[in-house]
Amino acid sequence: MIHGWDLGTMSIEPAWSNFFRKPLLSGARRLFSQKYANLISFVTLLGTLGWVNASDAEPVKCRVVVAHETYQADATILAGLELSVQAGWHVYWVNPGDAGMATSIEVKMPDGWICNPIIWPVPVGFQSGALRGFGYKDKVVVPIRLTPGKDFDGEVEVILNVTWLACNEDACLPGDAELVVRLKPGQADPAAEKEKLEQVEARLPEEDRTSGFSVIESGEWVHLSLPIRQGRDYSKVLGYPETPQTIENRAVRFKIEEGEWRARARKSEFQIGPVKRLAMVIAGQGLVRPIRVFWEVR
Amino acid sequence: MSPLAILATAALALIGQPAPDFTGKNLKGESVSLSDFKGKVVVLEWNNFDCPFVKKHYASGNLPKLQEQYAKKDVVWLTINSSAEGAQGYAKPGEQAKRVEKEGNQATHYLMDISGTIGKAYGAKVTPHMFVISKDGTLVYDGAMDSKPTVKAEDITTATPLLKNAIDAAIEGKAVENPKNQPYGCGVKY
Repeated sequence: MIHGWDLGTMSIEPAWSNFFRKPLLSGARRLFSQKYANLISFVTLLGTLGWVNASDAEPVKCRVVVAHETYQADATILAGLELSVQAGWHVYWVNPGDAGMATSIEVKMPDGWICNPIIWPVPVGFQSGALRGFGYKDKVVVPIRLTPGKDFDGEVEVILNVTWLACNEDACLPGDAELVVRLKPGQADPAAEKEKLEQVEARLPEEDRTSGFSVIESGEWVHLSLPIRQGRDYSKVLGYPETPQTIENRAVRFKIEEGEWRARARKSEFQIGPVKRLAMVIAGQGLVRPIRVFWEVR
Repeated sequence: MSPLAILATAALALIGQPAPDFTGKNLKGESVSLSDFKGKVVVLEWNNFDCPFVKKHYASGNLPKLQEQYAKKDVVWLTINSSAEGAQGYAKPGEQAKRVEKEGNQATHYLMDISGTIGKAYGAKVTPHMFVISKDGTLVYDGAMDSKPTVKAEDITTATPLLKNAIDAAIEGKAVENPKNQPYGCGVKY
């Protein structure tokens, strides 16, 4: 049996390592693309993780952790996809920027189970030559919340199909993995990773429908504004454009002008006609937690 | 000066404007200029065979098929490699010629643009980044291969074939419906 999730590494941080050996989380099937396919097949047949020393060429490793080892009909399940990215490499956010490819997670569940919309953690910006992008370096955990179906009483299988593109200054390598989580019914006792996962979830951007975020276009510039509100200091935050191809791919900074928080960005060269909608993730010092704001032309 | 030195105008390529002329060397060392092909539809394809997005369109046979198909319609196809010496996608002309054959590239010419002059004149950002020039020398398309920015070959058949639509429109002398869109791929390794 392959106990690992991460068929690509043994370099696991101690706080997360126990889960690699939980039987309920066994059965990871890694479907690496292109050059790694043969290597993975070999390892799978061997049924051991001994090969992982050869993984230096592999820039991304992934696994799943869960907050509960079992499920109950009336309790949601918090899981997390962890991508560990080698130094010098990055993977991409939902808006990858000028190049690259958004990382994607497809969740397959039994009928009747529900997966909440996946909210991606706040990205970082990076630049390679003249190209700007958004994504993740080092490590990112993407929380995934599941609601069990009401009429289940046996073991269920939840499958995450993950695809990513990892790039550094010199190259890009695609990757994908199929991660299988098997959950048994029963008292949903918290797992060791529960607290850590909840902390990650608490730092996700929170939808703010009352932000007052507004967009005005003027020539090649797009002007963004937010009303001044108590408890909201945007002076040290960065705003990341989530909607691709609307404004240039760089994080914006806000400052107070004429009684409101303002920022401006160049309109994307690929925006045909007026900007009609823009979602932005805003994060940084001065906010209790990151927020996601949305503007749409009326 | 490098034997593969390339001359190009400093003008940036803009949709609806005359396409900047350039001269480059093909893998046989012959000079090739855009102006050699006046009166013909010309496709420019930025290439790096080691980029996963390029692999998608070569391993699937999509790009070689398009190159072959449009050659029969008198379309000139110039595949351009702007990888700097030593960067991913670069190889000496002899080695590159073998790679071009291995990958099944059917372009009219494969041009080495080591200095990145042509790439920068056109604002080529990624591989593959595609441009179409009409018979009268106007740039009529600047964008992606298709509408699905993935590395999965199976997505080709379900994607909107943006490039193909643009070439067809250029051949027929019609306006390209979506003339500028974001190309997807790996950054050009200037």
